Amino acid sequence: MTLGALLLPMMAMAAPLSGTLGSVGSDTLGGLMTQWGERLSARHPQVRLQVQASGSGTAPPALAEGATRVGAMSRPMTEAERADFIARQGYPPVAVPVALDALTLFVHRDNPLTSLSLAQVEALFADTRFCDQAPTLRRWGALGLDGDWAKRTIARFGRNTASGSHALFKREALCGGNFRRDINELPGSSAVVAAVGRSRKAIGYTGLGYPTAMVKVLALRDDEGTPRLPTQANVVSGRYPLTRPLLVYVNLAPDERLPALERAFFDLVLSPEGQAVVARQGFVPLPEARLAAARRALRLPPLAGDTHSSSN
Amino acid sequence: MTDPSTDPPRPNRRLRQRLDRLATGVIAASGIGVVVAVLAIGVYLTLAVLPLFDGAEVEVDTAPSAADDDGAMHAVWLADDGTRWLTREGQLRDAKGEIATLAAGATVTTVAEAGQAQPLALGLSNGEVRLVPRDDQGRLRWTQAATLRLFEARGVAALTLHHAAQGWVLAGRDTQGKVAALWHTAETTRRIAVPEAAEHIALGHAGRLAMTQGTQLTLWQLSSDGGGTPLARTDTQTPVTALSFLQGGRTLIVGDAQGGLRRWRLSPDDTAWQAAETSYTALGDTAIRRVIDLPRQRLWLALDDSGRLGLYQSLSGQRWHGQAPEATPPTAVSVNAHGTQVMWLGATGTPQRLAIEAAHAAVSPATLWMPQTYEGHADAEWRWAAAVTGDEEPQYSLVPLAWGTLKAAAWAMVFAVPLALGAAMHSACYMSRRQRARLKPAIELMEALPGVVIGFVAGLFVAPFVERHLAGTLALFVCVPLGSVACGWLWRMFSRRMELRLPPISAGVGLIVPLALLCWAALSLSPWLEAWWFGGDLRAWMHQQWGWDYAQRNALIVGMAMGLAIIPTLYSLAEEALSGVPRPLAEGSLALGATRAQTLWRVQLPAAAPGILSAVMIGAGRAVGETMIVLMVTGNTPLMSPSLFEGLRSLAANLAIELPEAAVGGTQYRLLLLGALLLFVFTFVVNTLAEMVRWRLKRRYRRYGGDA
Repeated sequence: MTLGALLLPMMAMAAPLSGTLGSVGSDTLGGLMTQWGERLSARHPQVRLQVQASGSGTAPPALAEGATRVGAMSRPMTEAERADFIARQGYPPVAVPVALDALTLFVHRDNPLTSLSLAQVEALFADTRFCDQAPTLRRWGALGLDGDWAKRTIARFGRNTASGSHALFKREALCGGNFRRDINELPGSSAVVAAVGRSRKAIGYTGLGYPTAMVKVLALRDDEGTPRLPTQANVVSGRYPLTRPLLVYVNLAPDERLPALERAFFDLVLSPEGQAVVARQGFVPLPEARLAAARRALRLPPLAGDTHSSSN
Repeated sequence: MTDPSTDPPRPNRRLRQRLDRLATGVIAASGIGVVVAVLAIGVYLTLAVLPLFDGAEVEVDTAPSAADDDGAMHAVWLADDGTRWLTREGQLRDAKGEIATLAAGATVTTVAEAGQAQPLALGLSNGEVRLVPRDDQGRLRWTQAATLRLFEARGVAALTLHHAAQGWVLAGRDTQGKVAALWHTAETTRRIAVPEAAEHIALGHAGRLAMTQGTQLTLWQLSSDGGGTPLARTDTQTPVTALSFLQGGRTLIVGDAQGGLRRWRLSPDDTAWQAAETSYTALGDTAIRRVIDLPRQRLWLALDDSGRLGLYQSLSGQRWHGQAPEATPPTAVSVNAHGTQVMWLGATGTPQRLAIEAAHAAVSPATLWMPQTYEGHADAEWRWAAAVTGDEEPQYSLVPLAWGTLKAAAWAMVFAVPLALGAAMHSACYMSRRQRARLKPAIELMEALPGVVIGFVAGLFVAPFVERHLAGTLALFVCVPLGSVACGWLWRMFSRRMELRLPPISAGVGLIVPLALLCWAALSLSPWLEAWWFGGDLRAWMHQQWGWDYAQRNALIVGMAMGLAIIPTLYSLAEEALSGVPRPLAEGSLALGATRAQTLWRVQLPAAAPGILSAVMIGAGRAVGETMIVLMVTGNTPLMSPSLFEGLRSLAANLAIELPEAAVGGTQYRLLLLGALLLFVFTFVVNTLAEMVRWRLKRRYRRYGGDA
């Protein structure tokens, strides 16, 4: 921080930074981007960040057409989107991880279940068996619950097809297989949580930071059978299986340096201050190594040493 | 009020005339504007949808050649950063010069690739394999190639590569048909010797190896600890001449000696072959020489001995056919990461570039409307599951969505039509003018309720309530109609005696109290009924008895919620039609001694039938297009069940869910707009028909002396 405070006035003296930086993309990242925009304006009073958060799918075309240089996405670009970008710009876009997210599975608060294996997750949500050959689960009894619970059928809730959560769940938990068709797809993560909280036989999944007191978050068992809750430590270490980075794509030619506005933006996002916003929004901040790697990839100056960041 | 008899001063009259003309003009312009806007929406949707049905195309051009081309090239790659040439002697060049030598003392015989994340493998004439790793951007690191030994004595004749858990699997065939494989994980690389000879090999997912010898098609399971077991054997009838797994490694394309092309799939449990019912359109009758998998969209190329080339999609079949750049089979073929360009190196040594334009090849009338056997499924099904990552098999059937739309509309009509028509008949034919003047606006006011509100309440409160009190709710549906008929009959029995003592309210209002009592009785008695008849759990009983599942968000709830939303439209149009029936007709009938019920049934209803029909049509049009209620009340599950207790996904709700994140211009985007176009056409046709019926009805009423 102290070093940053020293550097900033110098940069300002060299060229007073002003202008509007446009961003198009994910609604998951919408809140984060807005917060970062406010902080960016606080650092550089003449800079505005204009956030258009209408979905991850809107970022690639806007980036490819050159309508924006910064695009937020809660999933990586597909090959087709990448190919389209390369075809128009002549080089691949740069993906900058800005935060970590994880998929959480949860049940009604009264449900005695505490953890699931990944094979059970596939059997609960998939029609195909691309990861494992677990049998279909119809009732909670099949998951080892007894009493009244054994007879209850399982109702499944999830996010809509277009969301990054859906895509990640499909790739990681179903091994690219197909979802069951009777999964209730609700628009918005909070709708999923609310629905699960109101039905004792329900199970659902969303990103981090949505679950409420109405539902109970389940731990996932890793390869050794140890249940792992999606805590910050488990997400950072990758011991919780269903984690993903949230990305900001930037249009940057291989031999080019970041323009001043983008530079200021990423300098903020990939700083302790920017990462504190991530934690406040319910996501997981990048671990230091990944933060440093991301800064290196953008040729940003390395952060001040650990002693500085931990002192404030 | 001005007196019309006094002539206004001249300038005033001119002004009025001018204002009148202006008003006429504005109204006409607005009307034309509306028509133009509607047409423009139709035209826009059509234009956005048309590219879906553009044919696919393969264009051939001569690729840029190496500066010092000596005619001994073995393979050519197109990378993001330029073209690479590989000579038979293993020298790799780009436009600037030599980069690396990959085959010291041997020649390159074959090349295998498996996408952007896996290394590239070169098979050499001395039995070795060179592996070229990739960096995290997917670029090949030619100078860091590693050498592995696959065969001791003979050279490598064919190679196939596929990713596996934490690594990759590579299988090769030597010049004598012996097969061996390498399984690479983070820790080790193990060699697996397959004790069976093969003419053609192909690797699928998780170590599934397809091998053919004559008409024998075998499936082997390789394992990461160095072993292998045969899983299944099949006879293909005709000798196999070409073999390739498609991306994902679950679909195998088999070309045979008579030009036949067939699809074999791994069974859902990955242990057997599952033949497709239909084979692909053949190119000709000569043997298939090569099957080339193009990543993305399950596209592939087939080449036969006569130099015919065809572009196929795994589900939609043949998309293009024509002539290959050279009649002889290519020595090497390389496909770019996106499956849009193929570098083709034939006997002449001049590389040819094939540009493949097939953006929406996965869409055909058959894939949209016919059931398909998708990877990982045993049976043909209609499925809608838009591609998410771009690598999986797209499932683009509009049937579940169309089904969901019609199902939701149908159940909504089941709820709304009896209620709305009953109310319309009652208020048009039985109520006093004063009562009607109060009731009609009240019902029409319901139309002002936003769909979101109805959806929210129904989804979050009614759906859980009905789930808890299913027996009670169903009892309501039986008790209320029967109960009201019974009440009506009782009323008739006792009305003579009661008439004097009760205040002069009509039978309809008097029904409210007994109906409320009935509802209460049905709800409070149903737990006992449920315990008595259905063993305490109606839902479990339904599953046992009929195999019906109960989903919390289901067609019953959407029927009630959407029914409520369309009742005002239906009621108000039907009421208008009924009360518009010329009074002389009804009065004549009553005068001739018919009862009110007879008059209603025999005179007023037939006369108003076209109007009621048009009311029903407009109501159905609204139900089909309704978005928010369906979106919030159903679970948006693209099922194909007629069950009242299961969910559905409608075209309109699907549009609302998926359009915001669909890649603009992509297949999914255009298919969503196709759904929109279908909805547009449906509502347009239905509403136009309904308006025509209404218009003719008005003319008929006027002829009978009505005032409508």
